[in-house]
Amino acid sequence: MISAELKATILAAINLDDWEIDDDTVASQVPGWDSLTHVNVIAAVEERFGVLFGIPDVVALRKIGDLQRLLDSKLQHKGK
Amino acid sequence: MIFTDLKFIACLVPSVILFYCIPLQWRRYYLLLLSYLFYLTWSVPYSLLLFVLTLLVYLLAVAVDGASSARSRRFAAIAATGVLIAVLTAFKALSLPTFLTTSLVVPLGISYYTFKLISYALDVYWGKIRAERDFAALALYAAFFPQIPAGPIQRAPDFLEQLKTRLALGLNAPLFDTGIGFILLGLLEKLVIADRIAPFIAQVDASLELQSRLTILLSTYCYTLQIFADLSALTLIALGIGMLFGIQGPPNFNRPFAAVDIQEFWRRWHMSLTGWLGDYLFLPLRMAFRKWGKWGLSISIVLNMAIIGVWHGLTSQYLAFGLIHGAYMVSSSLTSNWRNRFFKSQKGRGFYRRVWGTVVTFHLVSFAFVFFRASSASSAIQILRGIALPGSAAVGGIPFGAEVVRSALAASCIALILGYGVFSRNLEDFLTQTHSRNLYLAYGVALFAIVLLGVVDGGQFIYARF
Repeated sequence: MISAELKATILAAINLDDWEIDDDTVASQVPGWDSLTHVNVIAAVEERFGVLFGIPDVVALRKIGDLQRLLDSKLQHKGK
Repeated sequence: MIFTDLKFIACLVPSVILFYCIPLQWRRYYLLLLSYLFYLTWSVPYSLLLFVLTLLVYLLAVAVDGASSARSRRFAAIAATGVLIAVLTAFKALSLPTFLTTSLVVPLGISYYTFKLISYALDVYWGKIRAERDFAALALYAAFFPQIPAGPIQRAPDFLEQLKTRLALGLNAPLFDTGIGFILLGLLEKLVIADRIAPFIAQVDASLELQSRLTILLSTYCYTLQIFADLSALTLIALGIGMLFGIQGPPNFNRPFAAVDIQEFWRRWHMSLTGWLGDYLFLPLRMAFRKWGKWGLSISIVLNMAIIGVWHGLTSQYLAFGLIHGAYMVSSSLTSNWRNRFFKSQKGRGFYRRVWGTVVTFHLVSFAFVFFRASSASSAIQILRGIALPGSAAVGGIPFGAEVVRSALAASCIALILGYGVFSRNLEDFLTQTHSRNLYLAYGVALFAIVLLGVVDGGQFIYARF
């Protein structure tokens, strides 16, 4: 389940007013989310949630559900 | 031995028949033997280089996988990628006549197999896959003969998975059937289209100063279409041969001339190379520069496109080709929000945007290919001057009625249609989705056209020299 906060951060990073996003959505299904804007989304999520992603983390992402799980694990790790 | 050579086809047919006669568990070793035999016909010492590099990457990937500390993992991964990049760069540099008195020949397919091995080493390092323990499987991945001359650059997880699954199932009749179609269409694109355009380009280049502005301009468009037909043909034949042995490679083109902007063009053109660079070069660069905002994006794009350029060869004209595309991409990405807002406010202009965008993109691409085509930077400037400046009367230039011009224009029109899309589909989809009876009719027409119109001694594929 994609949190409302993550969804809002993604949409703001790609200048999109609204779009249906769920766990299985892939970047290419979202208008304006391509290889050039992909890292803008990653940087926006890092800034909004105060986390840092490594290159292997980002390379392994296949769908938006993966980004949510990665973010959750980073936040959990940060909270410890 | 090139794919259009009759000797190659004469060897391929019995090789395929024998492949299906031997037990399933021996087929990967048989394919490995065929791949090395193919390479040995070209060069014995360079076959040894391919083997040594594969063995080195195999051992280092196993070391990455089994390393007890992050430091030793990183060391092994850097050693593998470092050696491959150093070998590739050294051969590209030593092949230039300026470095040695006699320039060294670049090993066949080195740009492709080093990229395959780099992505494999990085995939293991990033934890996407485990290191392959079967050396024969990795050696076949690197040396798989249909993909050796010019790709497409298949990723290790996809190839290794197919070795375990598809190859173990025996004959895949639909895949085999499609493979024949891909080979026929590839031969058609090469022998009837690309090699019919090539003599016109060669004649213009040989006597540039005698040609009219219009002839030079026409040759510029024709070259873009020739290079599409040539590389697309090579890809189709490589994919088709792979399918005959049960291996499906990645697509390389998806209607590139239907692109409405330069970003879209690069998502449709030479996709296995651009996808590779996107994942293993652009993404790490972009991550490293992500705090630099638009500057970071621009630097990553320019570096990425410059490397696409010099990947073809360490010359000023290939660098210029890459930098021109870098400038296009930076301008396009920095203005995309503004353009999207503008066209969103102009209801009903979508059609005009598509038409205008397609025409402009084709012209931008053709302009950059002038540097790709030219033998030197000064020769590229000469072509551009020939188009831009009014020259003297073209005495001795190629007349428009000449057969070489008519053939090139007819072939270019077909290449444009194929590159724009057959009924809005790319060639691969057209072949895989068409009803089998219509498909056999298309095979017949293709074969007829190859026999009737094909150029017999058209020469090597352009991309086989990289």
